[in-house]
Amino acid sequence: MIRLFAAGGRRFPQLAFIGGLAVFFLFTALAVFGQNVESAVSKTLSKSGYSDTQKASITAFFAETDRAGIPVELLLPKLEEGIAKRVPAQRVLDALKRESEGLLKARALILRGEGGERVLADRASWARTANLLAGGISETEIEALILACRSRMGDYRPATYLYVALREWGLGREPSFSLIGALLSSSIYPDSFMGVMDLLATGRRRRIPPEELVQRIEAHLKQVKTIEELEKWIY
Amino acid sequence: MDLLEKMLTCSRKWFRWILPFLLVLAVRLPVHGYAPALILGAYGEGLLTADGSGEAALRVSGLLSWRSLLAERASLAFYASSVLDRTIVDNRQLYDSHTLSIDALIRSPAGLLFGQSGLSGSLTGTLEGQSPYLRPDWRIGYEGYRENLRASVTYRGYYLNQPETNEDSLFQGFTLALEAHPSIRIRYGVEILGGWERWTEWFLYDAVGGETDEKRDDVLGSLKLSAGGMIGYFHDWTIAAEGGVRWSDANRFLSSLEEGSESVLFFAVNADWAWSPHRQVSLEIGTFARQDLYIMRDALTELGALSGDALRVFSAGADLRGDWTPNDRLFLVLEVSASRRFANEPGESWWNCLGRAGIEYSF
Repeated sequence: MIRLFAAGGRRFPQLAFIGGLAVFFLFTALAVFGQNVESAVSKTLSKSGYSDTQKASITAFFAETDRAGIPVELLLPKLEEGIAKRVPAQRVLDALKRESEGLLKARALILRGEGGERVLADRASWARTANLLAGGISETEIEALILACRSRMGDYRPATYLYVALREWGLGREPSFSLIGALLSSSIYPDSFMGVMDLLATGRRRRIPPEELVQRIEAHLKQVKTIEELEKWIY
Repeated sequence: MDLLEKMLTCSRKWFRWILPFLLVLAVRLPVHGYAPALILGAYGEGLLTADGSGEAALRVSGLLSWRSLLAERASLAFYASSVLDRTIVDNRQLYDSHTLSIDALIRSPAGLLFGQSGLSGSLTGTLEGQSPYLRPDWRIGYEGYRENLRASVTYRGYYLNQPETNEDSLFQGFTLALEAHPSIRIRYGVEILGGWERWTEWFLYDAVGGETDEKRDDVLGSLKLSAGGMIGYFHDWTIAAEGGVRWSDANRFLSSLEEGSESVLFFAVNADWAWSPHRQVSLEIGTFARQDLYIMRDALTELGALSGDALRVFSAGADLRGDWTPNDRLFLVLEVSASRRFANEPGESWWNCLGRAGIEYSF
């Protein structure tokens, strides 16, 4: 056969061969992946006291979400939590459905913005976005956060945690975004972003209006490397 | 008047040195500064003390602060505050305390050079029981950064002038500090203090109880360990433990000469917690405990005789401060504090409680 093709008598069906290989690998991958999902879910369910019918419903749900492109590890913790807390199967299933709906909504939102693929590639960031939506943060705010983080996508999650804290503390949208933008352009480690809350609380005790303090922080962020260093210059 | 004269004389000397410096800064350096903060406050307060007496008072306070950015890497800050208390029940008396302070920061790539000088004082004494005083203080130091470590060396000193007592003193000391910040959630610190204090009006006694020309000198050393950090986004805490010694050559003469009467070992712990869940609210709680173990000083009995036991003093206290603001300008403030001192000498034991409520306005 090799000789036959090599002799050029018949053209090698390159496209069909590659297509066949692709289909083979895709099915194999899906089967393996499907098996992994099923095995992970089964392993978790084996620790529960749910009936076989209930287990089958939950397994079917996971297979469905897997087909919809939601990674199993984003939903499995919810199932584990429900089992650990001995929550009835139907309630766990309802919660899982809500969670998956949130993840789908978050995915659509993430992909709408510039740099969304990179956020989506980090599953923790995807889950975080779903949490933000569930927590009542508007789509506009999330889009603005993704945009603010476009050059430092790895810092998306700490930035969102800080944003929620700032808003909860009572700072307006504009100064919150402005502060997060300045932090993302600075040398401050993302793990230290939360230190800004301490600066604001200290400033408040010194009777400095938060909006004014935000301006002072922004003015000095470029010149410092740590929150502790920043603290020396803003009061 | 003696105190006033002293204060004015001192201030004039002070300004002779400071004024040219300020003029140079005013003409050459100020690029821009933060908006000055002016805060005025008015409070009602009540004080209960160990003798069972209570006192009510009115307080007014003012604070002015301003930081000028001299350049990208340097700043100069000025603080001035005054507090006036007027008792209104038993004896109508005015108490006061005032503070003036100036500090400078110069940043280098490796760290921060800082200097501070201040003057605090009271013409009539303070409501808390401090007699009239004038206290210039100064501090200069360098702080170096390396990743999550911060090391500093500081020289500081003060001169405490108290016209109504013989307890004027000059203190000078060095502090070495190292602080580690593994994360914003936790920080650890260690601080070593070494200092010397000369008591300029406190003379030692000779063997028969006569005053000599020799002045009291104390050497101080202490080690402080601390930890602190953030819990969640809205809580901040600090805890510190300190142990040290004051080794003094002071003596006292009762029926006989007692050497080292002021030498003492001390251990102290304090913990603070601050919480601001919203820009409108803030709550702070502070607690402390301190044990003083006199090395050679005997406790006295109720009749003033030597008890044969070394004096032991334990103090503990707590204070709480909360405030609420509707608009970042007007603040409603509430403060409560209580402290208690236990000792194996009757005259050294006391307690007091203070409550204060009022408003502050930030302009």
